[in-house]
Amino acid sequence: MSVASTSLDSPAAAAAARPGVRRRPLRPSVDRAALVVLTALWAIGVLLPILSLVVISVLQGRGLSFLWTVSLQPYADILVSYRIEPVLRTLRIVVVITALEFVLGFPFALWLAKGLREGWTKSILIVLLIVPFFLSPAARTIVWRPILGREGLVNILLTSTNLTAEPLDWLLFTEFAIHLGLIGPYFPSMVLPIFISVSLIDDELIKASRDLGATPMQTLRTVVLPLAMPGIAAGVVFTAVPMLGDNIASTLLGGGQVSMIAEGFDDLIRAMNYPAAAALGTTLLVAFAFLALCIRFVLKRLGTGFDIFEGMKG
Amino acid sequence: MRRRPRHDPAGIFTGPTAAIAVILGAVALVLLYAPIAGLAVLSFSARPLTGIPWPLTLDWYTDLFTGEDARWIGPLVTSIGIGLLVSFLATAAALAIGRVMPLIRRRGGLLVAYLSVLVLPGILVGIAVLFFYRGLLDFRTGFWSVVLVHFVWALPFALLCILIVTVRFDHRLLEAATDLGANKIRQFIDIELPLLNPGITASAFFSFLLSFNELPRTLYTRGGITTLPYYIWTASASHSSAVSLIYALSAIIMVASFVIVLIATRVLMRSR
Repeated sequence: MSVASTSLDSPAAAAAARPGVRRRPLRPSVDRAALVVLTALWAIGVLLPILSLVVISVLQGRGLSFLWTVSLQPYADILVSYRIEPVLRTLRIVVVITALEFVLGFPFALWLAKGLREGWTKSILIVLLIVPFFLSPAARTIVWRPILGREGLVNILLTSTNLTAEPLDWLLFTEFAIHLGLIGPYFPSMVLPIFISVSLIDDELIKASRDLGATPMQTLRTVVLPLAMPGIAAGVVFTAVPMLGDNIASTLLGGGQVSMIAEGFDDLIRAMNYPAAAALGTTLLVAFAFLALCIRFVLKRLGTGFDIFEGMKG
Repeated sequence: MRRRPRHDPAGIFTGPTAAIAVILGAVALVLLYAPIAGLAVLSFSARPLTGIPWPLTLDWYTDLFTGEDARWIGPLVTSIGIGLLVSFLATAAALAIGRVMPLIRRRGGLLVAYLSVLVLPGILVGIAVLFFYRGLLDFRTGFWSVVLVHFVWALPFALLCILIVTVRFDHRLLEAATDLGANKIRQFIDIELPLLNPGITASAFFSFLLSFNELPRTLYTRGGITTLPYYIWTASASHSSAVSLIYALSAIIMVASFVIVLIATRVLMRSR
């Protein structure tokens, strides 16, 4: 736009300028137009529908025809005891597993980034952490059933070696099974962000800290931990938020006995109570927004930022 | 001067703490890979539902291709079609976005707008698309809505793949080409595409796989169509004898996916 008007304003000047100089500003403007169009489509076609859940959650309606009257009935519908129980259970499980992933993942990520030299082992471990994102989550969860079931592998081993007289009942279709099934799949989402942020810490800083007489523990607390904070925050978000809506572990390993939020969605949609399903979705969105704001606040207090663009250049 | 430990370039870890870190990570990796290995082993077991690998048999694999049990071929074709389309769309969009993004000022906020959906639970995205398009706008769900939710799932990953190569792209190369008289299309084909190629290839592979294996977003937006993961999901939840076949089918898909990820990761890592 601006290029066109300048050349109209002063055709003589434009003609006098070298072609290369004249053409250069035009190039980004075409590319930027593509960016603007795609971003607008993304905002309207994708972000708007997600945010529209908030609006739908205060409507009345039966099935997919909504009445445009504001009502808090959907929220009352999900606050009844048999619906709120899975929500609270999900929150508890998510907090426990996220904490567990941090305990398992932080030392490992630190070791992977700073304790292990570049080489085959490191590359293989990183690939092993990336690959599961692209495998079918249902296929790798279903296998726990024959392993943990009443007539499954673990129970056969236990009873045939006389470690237990009776097969154990609590292995499958219990919260234990859900916990076990969630730890593996959500491990990479905790480790990879921490790994990236720790990798970006300059080795010289750590060496300087050691040379000034800090113990490894002190170096960890005062140098590594603050600088790794953005990665830890990202790890927590990437682990906890998707897990809130995980329907695979609870369906396959909870087996209807232990239901989580995902089953709540299923129930409400089957009962054609769509506004209440939207209300449940809104609570997840609010949980996500709350977590993101908390993390932003903590990172601001610490004064550490994380430029992903710089990180990628590494 | 103190001798630096061989395994610890930065000097945070002592022998025992490194061992603890490795053991903790190993526990989680075993929990992650045991089911994957278990699936492969049990697909050869005559009694897969007991979890005992022996006696071995190839029956499930041969059964997959006969009569009634070959019903997975339709869903497979559907999933491959959707996967290819999503792969193309996501990579093209990611390329258009990713080659400009490193140059603009408000890129941080823009990146958040594109990546935030990565974090949202899949089933939430599926429900949002169902309610908005089917409920508020009254479109019928089906092929297009599955493509849409898969696109939403794949685009953030595709964008990350492209950004890894575009943040390092030297724009002086394009200025030089302009000075030498190359037009914009020539510049794109002869300079940008070859240099960005590793990111583009990885993005295409990853987007395909994300779409091909996607389930939670598909559940509520599939309309009348059956993708392969949905077929496997219903078959494995049905407690029938078909479950044994599902192990063989899933094992084949998993091995194929594994190989594709390895190729794509190698392409991407080579570019560094």
